[in-house]
Amino acid sequence: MSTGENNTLPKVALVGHPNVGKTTLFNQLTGERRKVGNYVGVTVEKVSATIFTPHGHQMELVDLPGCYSLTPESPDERVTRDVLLGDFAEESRPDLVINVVDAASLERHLPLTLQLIELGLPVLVALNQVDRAEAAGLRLNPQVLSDELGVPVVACQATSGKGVVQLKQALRFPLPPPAERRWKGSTALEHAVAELSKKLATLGMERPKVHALQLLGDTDYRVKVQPKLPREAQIAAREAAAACIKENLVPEDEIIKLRTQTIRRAITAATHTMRNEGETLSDKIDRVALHPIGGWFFFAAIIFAIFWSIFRFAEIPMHWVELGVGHTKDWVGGLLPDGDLNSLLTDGIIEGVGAVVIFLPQILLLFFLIGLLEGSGYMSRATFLMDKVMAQVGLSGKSFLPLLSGYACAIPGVMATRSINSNKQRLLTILVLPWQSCTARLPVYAILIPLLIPSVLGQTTMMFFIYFLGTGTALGVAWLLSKRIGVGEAAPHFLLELPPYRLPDFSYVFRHVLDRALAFLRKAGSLILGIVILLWALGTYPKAPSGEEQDQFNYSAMGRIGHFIEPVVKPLGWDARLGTATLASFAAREVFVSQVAVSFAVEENEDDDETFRAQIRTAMTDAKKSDGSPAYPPLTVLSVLIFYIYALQCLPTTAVVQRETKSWKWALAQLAGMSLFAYLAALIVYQGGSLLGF
Amino acid sequence: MTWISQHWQTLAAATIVAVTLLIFLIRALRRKKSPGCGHNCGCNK
Repeated sequence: MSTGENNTLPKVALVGHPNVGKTTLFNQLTGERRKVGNYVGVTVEKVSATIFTPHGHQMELVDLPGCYSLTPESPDERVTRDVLLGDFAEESRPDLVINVVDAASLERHLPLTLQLIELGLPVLVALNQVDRAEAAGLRLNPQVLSDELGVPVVACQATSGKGVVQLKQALRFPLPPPAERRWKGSTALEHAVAELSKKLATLGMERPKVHALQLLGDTDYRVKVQPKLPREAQIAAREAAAACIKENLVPEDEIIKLRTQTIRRAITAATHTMRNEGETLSDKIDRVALHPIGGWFFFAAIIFAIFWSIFRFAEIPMHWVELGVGHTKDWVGGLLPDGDLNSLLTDGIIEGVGAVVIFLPQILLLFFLIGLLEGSGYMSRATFLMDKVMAQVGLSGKSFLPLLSGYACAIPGVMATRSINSNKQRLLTILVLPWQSCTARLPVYAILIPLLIPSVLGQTTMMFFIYFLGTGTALGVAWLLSKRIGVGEAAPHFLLELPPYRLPDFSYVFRHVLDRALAFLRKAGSLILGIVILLWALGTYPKAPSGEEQDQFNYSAMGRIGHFIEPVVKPLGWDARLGTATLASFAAREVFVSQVAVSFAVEENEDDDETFRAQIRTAMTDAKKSDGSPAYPPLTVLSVLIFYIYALQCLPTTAVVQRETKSWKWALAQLAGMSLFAYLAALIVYQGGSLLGF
Repeated sequence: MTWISQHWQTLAAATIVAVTLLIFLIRALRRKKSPGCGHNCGCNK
């Protein structure tokens, strides 16, 4: 069965605050089948899926971007508001809104519920996190709440699936009708709304009552949408606003007051607090975690522990992967006689791709630990700590989460900046974000750091320092650029809920880690595989004359490119090999490891205990210049590390930056600027170190 | 032995390289249907 003028599927939209559990509920309702697209004309994702109700009706479920209210402060919130009003091109208005509400924070969430009801939309409230509310001593009566709000209310706990069956049962045809507005304003207000609504109706405007209320009660709507209305409607709206001013009526203020009274009445009727717990365990932990000084040490300790774990615990699975790569190489090599195809498969593909895949356990462990932090509720605390720092350098407090995402990958971090209200702060965050050391850099760090420091503790400390350096530089440059871009006054503080600490949802964390593993393997099996094949070809052809095979690199196209760019990289202490490896890694940073493995043609070592990674390091340590001195002394290795900390070597990131900023100018300026910064930093380290005698 | 049988490995390897290059060129020139980042960035976006 379908409704609507065009026989399209009925549309149900999930609406609610960010992080309230909409996506979790979406996954529960859809079985995690989702389609991701974009809303026309804006860079905001559209997540939707087709579902069947228990009664066999098909409908489209859409997960709208999170919003705190229908007075938008970011592109995401604007899309949600416009879709709900039916003002968004090529998007039909939903036939039903499932408003996901946090049961433990009704006072903060119900204002949005009332706004949805005022839009004249059918609303169904999904009262989420009921278990958590009850654990906090709050007893809720969904039926009483439903009577107070005038809409159906279904209690649920999305993470465990509780209440989802009841929610699906509630999606029956016919869908619930739109509810009546729950508050009644003063005579003057109601008269103003009625008069404007009549005029808009005579002008043929759809949903005149809804638009009249929005035009009178929402400044942002009036400023942004009114100019797009037909001229007569604009005149009517201006006259109505003028009439309100004459009567000393500020509709927006009155409406907010009326909503607050309605919400308080509903909460008083529908909830009952069982006990006063005093200071909870979360409060006790927050005494440390949110302490102005202690909180920072706590934060640093957690990050240090993460890095230490990565080096310590990932070693065993990495060794298994190495063994697998080694055996695969031996087996495949034994199938064919010596020749180019054998070399391509073994020295090129298996060695090149294998060199990257070996780091999968480290990357997954990093994601797992970050997932645990997010699931435990600590990340909100870290965001709170960083808010002041962000404000000092001209960034929004909302910049922290995108910057944090950058530790995994810059691309979702850049897209997460859509939640930042100020366009200039958003641009600033995007420009500095790639300095967060992403997981693609991890294989490079993991190969090079042990060349400098043998002990695990020392390596962990160096890794911590590298991440600190990248982030510190990002914040410092943000401060400098904020003056140039003209960010202006400090942005208003953003709203952030600190959830109580809880055990993470391990199934969600594992699903996320599995997602990342598949994405990583997909990348290794496609982009990196392709690059490695081309690098192998550049390193193999033209072939060196017979008798000079040991000089193959210099005869090859790769070697010739390397020698061509050597004058540029020599001041950094690099040679042609490092230069070509770095050049190749502009497509994907991990390729550095592949190229080093391939260009050194890491041979099988008689020492069976030595790992593949150790063989690469041995090859680099043993490599000599023509004068017999080490080709890659510690200062050179440090120079390479510094370059990788600062360089933007990810063309997909540049493509996404262009899309998000709608400007090739900023994307290319970022690429060029960061490349230059990286070059100069590496130059200063190498030349400065040489002068100091290192 | 014919030239092909002597150098079949070189031919096979060269074919693989040529096909790889062609795939890269086609992907670079093809207009993106979906507004993703290219899907090979390793982040599932």
